[in-house]
Amino acid sequence: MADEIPQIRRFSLGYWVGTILVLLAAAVLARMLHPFNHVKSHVPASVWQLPQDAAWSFFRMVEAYILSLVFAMSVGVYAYTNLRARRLILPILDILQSIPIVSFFPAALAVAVWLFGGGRLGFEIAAVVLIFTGMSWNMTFSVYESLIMMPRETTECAESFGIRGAQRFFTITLPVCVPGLLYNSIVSWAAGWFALTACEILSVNNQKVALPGIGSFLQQAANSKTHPLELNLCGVAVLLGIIMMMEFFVWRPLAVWAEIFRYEVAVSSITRGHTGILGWYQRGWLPRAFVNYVIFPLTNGVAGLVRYTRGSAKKMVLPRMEVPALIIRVWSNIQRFAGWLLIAGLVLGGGYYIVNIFRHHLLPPLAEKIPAYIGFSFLRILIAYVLSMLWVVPAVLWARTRPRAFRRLSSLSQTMAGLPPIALTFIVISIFVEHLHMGYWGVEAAGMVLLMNGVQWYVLFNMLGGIAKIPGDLKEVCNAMGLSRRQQWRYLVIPAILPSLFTGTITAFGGGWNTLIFSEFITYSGHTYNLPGIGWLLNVASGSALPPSGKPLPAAQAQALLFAAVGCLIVLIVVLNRLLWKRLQAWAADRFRLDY
Amino acid sequence: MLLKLENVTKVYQTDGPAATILEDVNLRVDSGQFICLVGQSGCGKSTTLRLINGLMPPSSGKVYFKDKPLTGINLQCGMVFQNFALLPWMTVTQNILLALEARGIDRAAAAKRAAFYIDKVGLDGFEAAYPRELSGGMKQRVGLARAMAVEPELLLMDEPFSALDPLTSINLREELLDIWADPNLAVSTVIMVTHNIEEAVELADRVVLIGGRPGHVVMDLDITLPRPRHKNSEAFTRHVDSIFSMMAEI
Ligand SMILES: Nc1ncnc2c1ncn2[C@@H]1O[C@H](COP(=O)(O)OP(=O)(O)O)[C@@H](O)[C@H]1O
Ligand SMILES: [Mg+2]
Repeated sequence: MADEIPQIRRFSLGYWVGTILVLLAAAVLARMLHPFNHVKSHVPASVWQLPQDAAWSFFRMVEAYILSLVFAMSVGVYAYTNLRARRLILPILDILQSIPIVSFFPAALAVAVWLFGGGRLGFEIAAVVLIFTGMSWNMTFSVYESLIMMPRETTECAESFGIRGAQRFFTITLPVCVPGLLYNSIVSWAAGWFALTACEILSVNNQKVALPGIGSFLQQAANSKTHPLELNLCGVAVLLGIIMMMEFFVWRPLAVWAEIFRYEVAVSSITRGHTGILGWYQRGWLPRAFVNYVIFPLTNGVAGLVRYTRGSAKKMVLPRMEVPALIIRVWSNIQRFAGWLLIAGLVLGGGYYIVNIFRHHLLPPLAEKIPAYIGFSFLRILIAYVLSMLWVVPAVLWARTRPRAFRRLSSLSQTMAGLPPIALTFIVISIFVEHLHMGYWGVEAAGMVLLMNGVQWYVLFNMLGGIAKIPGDLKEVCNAMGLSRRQQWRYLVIPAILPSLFTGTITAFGGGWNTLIFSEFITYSGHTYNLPGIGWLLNVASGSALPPSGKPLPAAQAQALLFAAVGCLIVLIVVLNRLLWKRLQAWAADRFRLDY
Repeated sequence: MLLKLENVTKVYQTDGPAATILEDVNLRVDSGQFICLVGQSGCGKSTTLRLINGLMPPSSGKVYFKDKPLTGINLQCGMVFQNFALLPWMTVTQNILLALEARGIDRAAAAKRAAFYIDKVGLDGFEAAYPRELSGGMKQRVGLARAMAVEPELLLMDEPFSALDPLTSINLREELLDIWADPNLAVSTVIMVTHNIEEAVELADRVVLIGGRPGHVVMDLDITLPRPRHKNSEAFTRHVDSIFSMMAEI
């Protein structure tokens, strides 16, 4: 570790900030060079367009990520500092985190179109906001949790020495959040890629709008009548390439660097070994020259510019003054009033909106199917979960004592979690439906594979994290006592990873609900395959799929159906979380905690 | 008079029933004294120290600093924490600079001061080291340097030697006395919390014993032995014994 520190210092916060700003600048520049004014319902998939599509999607992801960072920091810190707001924010985040992002589509679209008209800018913003809804909640939780877990002495030290305001934010609050934020950023990027298809093909008033991007490319490729397989393979290869580049240039060096922000000394094994560009940097003169003369000037230059402007702004600051207590009181009252006003406005406005929708359609068409379809879908997720566990648990236990395999597996889980279901569609459909001719059960099998792809990586990711957290001395003591492998599993490993297992289960079910949209309504090469389930129903309600009648639902009915379906889902998910998962998790965390 | 606690009571309101930790604590501290607060663990020593620093308000009663009632954080205090409270992402120098810059001391002066105190606690050569590269004793030296660098009128220490091994803590205790006696350094009044009676008798001008449920001052003992004090001298053991027997009574 010690010999890595000089290099880590070079990959400083400036590298992160610089990378983000360089990407943002590129995104803005691209938009300026390539102004967009019209929207298309269909962007033909062409290999020559692919690099450009990939760039568009990447920029959307960057923008959504920046939005998520800002949101996570501000809401997370607010929930931490304001006890009253916390009681409202945490349950809301909990719900937002576990409902499928398709639920946000109507609201995001309506707002974007209302604000920016039906031009492409409006849809671009809607797409970014939708990606944001898939990225930000877990990051916000992580900020809150990092702050809550901060040692009490650290807060007291800050207060005792009078460290506050911006100084406190940049020297304490932000650094404390870095390790958790980084880990969750990786998860969020995967979630963003995963949802990309759905965010780039939007439908408004039964009209489809396709934004150029890799998500819509994959969708169009799957529906290409001539070369679905080849186009899909190209798209998937490019997407995997981007995901791996991100890992190499951004996440790996940052993970090594973020070790410095941890309180505990233990180096998590996830960051050991493969260090991305950092390892490359250490290895030879050519890579080092590349990093020193190309990457650093770019990132550190931008970061330096920021630091310079911040520094010159600092010179102008007024001397510290005590704000009179009255002003503070009045100001906080204004804030509180504005907060209540906002909440009241949201509740009333939302209530009015919903009532208005249901006024004409108390029971929208297909609504009577909601309970049964939720049941079918839940069953599918359960099966996908069990099937996932059947291979994940043995794999994790096997990899526990094999560091290389362990790292490979964690790398795999991070990469694969970002693969959108559409990228797998062509494989599963051609296997189960076109080659095995399994009919309905073929579609079920294909859907199951897609669903597993949205479930298993979360379980794997979390279980690996749980294994990595087992203290070394416990492992040593078990070896010293001569416990057999089987006994070690039984008495050490399984109890130790139970808390992570339940966390993984909660995220996996969240992932499952999100995946249903793709696994219960599959389009491939001009055919559509439906499965009876809530995912299909949501597709009908959002206008992507046709109802059995063959005619799209009128907009008002579709909205009512969407609200009814999402409402039922939320109720089910909240009840499950409260009554089952959260209790199991709390029990496991308490019973099998590793400190005493 | 530098500090006065007047009928200070502290009630913690947690999920369960309210717990009264301190009741009617009265204490007067003059400038230049070295005071040790002792008592069994959980009796409210740290709470008392935090009330003095203004980290939280008393539930009733008042804390006066230089005859003015305390209304918030008392920035004339410097605090040394049991588990060091260093920021792991900042070097030794940065940790100290942070406290100085929070007080609006300009960068050049702050850097000079930080270097001075790093030298004073014997950490020169480690300016650019991160806390995790330091031993426990060295970490606490940083904590001490940080608290002294703000040149407080009152130095507060919460079990500063408890997390250290015995040999390190003996060395650090001696250095603390040297620093306290050094006329070049601003620190003159010290309040230190400890549960180690011998440590208290070795260091303090005055030992204040907090005890009972809820806690209050049960003994206030002046120790006038000349320094350096020898643990096996008869006067030393007498003081230690009297505190121990008082502790046993409550
Ligand atoms: N923030 C707090 N909230 C509730 N109870 C607390 C808090 N801090 C300390 N206590 C309780 O008050 C008692 C005294 O704590 P403390 O002052 O830390 O004792 P000491 O430092 O003498 O060991 C303990 O029983 C502790 O559990
Ligand atoms: Mg204490």
